[in-house]
Amino acid sequence: MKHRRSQGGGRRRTDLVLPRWRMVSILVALALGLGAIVWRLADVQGLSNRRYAAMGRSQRMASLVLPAQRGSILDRNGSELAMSLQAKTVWADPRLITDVPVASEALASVLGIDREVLARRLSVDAKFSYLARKVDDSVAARVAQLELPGVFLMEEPRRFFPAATLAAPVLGTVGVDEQGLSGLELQYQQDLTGTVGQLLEERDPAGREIPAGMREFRPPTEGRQLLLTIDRAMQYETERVLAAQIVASRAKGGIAVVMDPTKGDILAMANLIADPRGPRPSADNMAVTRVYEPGSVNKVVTIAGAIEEGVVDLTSRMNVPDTLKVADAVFRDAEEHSPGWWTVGEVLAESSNVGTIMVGQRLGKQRIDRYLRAFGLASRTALGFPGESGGLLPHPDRWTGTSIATVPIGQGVAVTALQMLGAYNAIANGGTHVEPRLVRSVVGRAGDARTVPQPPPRRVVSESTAAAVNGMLVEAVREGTGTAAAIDGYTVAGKTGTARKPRSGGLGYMEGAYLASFVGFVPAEAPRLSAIVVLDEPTPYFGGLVSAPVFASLARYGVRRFQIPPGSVPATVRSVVAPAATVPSTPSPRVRETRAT
Amino acid sequence: MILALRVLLTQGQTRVDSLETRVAAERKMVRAVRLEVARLEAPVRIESEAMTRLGMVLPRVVVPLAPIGVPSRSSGP
Repeated sequence: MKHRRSQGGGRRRTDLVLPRWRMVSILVALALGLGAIVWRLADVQGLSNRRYAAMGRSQRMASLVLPAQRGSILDRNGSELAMSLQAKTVWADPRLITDVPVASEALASVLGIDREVLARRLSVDAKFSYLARKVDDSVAARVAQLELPGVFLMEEPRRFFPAATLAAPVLGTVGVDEQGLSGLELQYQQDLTGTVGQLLEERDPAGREIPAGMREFRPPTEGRQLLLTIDRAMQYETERVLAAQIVASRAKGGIAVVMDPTKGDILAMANLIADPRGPRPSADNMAVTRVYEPGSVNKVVTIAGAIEEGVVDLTSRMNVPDTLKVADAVFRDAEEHSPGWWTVGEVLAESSNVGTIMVGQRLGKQRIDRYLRAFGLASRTALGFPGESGGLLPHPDRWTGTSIATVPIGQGVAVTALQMLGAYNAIANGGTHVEPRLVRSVVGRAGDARTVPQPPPRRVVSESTAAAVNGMLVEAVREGTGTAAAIDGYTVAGKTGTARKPRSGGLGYMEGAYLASFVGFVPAEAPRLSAIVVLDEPTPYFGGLVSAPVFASLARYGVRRFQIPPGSVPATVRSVVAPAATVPSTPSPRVRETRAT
Repeated sequence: MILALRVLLTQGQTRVDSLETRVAAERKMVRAVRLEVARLEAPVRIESEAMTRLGMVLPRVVVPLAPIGVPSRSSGP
């Protein structure tokens, strides 16, 4: 409407008509306002609808993360060695704590935590503060009874080891948040860890669940289980017998591994160190992480290589003195004896250093190195165990003048106990090397099992060579240095070893410090059980006196446990240990133990 | 009609919640029992119980029965 004012004839006329520009302005303003509303509507309902829907959803939906259960670790018979269970964690919202001194005083006696520590945790400037994680159910119940405002309970998974410290270095450890820190717990972290679940609930502004409201539940997926090759009973017996010998021989510690040589299954793996309160598990799995100079047990590789290459004859004899000079060093047998005509079998059975060095010289450094590597003494096993060592084997180009004497008798090289047992398993298996196995399969919750791949067996020496060495090892137990390893009704094959410990700096050896070992298998005719025992600085320090009896105890238990029948010695084995004398023979003295210098 | 359906839905949801809670509790119970069984079966406990409660001892001398023709020998632990 416009206001018009006209003048004329003394008469004034006022007309209510708005100016045109004002009309246009109002219309434009209205159009813009309407446009903004339409734009906003289009934005909210169309262009950005997802964002706004999500905002609204986040305001009324409460999300709860459901922790996944970590998978169990089972022995070969399905017995739990490690498993997780929900445990209560005590936490507080410090903003809701009305009286810190009273609350901390009340909680201190229940949780067993210092009152001052609790007071600090209750006074932090945060909405959430841990007071005690993964407490026992009884403790949680007592906390609940206190009914302290601002103190709450929630569930978290907690790792339990029902067999206490059994096989602890093998199983490993987990952190407070159930992450694997060492051992199999670390190696199979990805399989053992499950997938967390989630619960989404629609809640009103007061935080109450809206009946028939939106609800989404994604259950947590439990981690997979590990089915080991370890036998719980064998493991316990191995640790018990080893611990008893550590105490009896005042050793600093010991390693014992028991295997099924045909399949490569590790049945027991004990790692103990001496402690004033009795032997206790070591922090790491020493059987695969620590290397040691094997000493005389290494002679098997030299002899097997020499037989395979045809540089020694099983029946012919060689004149073996009790000392031999190589480069600038003189090597001796453990006991003095006059030079005698010995077969290679007698050299091994009596663990003669000089005889083995003579055989090694015939074989040559390149072939010695080749056989050491073929027997698996210079590479990590297929276990893939965290921190596993591949052994220390110098390349032939870096051998010194005396290496041709030290390496054949197991000095100047370093191996793990498991590597050395693997080499003897190759002899037990008729010359075929089978990789060790610690985990049989990974089993999902639905029962779907994934077999852990194992490299195919590989031939190291011929069947005839393995049979010949087998016979020599039988003789070493029957009449040689390993008689303490014999068990009733069974033919045991094995070899003793006593090696000096190198100084920590790497130059020279520690005075009076020895590692005593025994490696063997039973029954020699059809090996089903093999074991290695290594004792650190025992008294006496001879492997035949301290380690062989431990082997015998383990073998005696193992053949009963696994129902292994005794066998009969095949002719091929017997013929090697009792060769027909073709040359004049000087009776070889009984060398009780070898000790390389 | 809609109201009745909503009530039925709510009742059903409540029942599902209750069952889920029971399932979770039963699962936890199963695991707890399995843990308890594993603890009871642990060789260290068996040996401890045998020695302390039943008064059993480890044998000083083991004399295995040898097959015919094979001489038997005694051995200590």
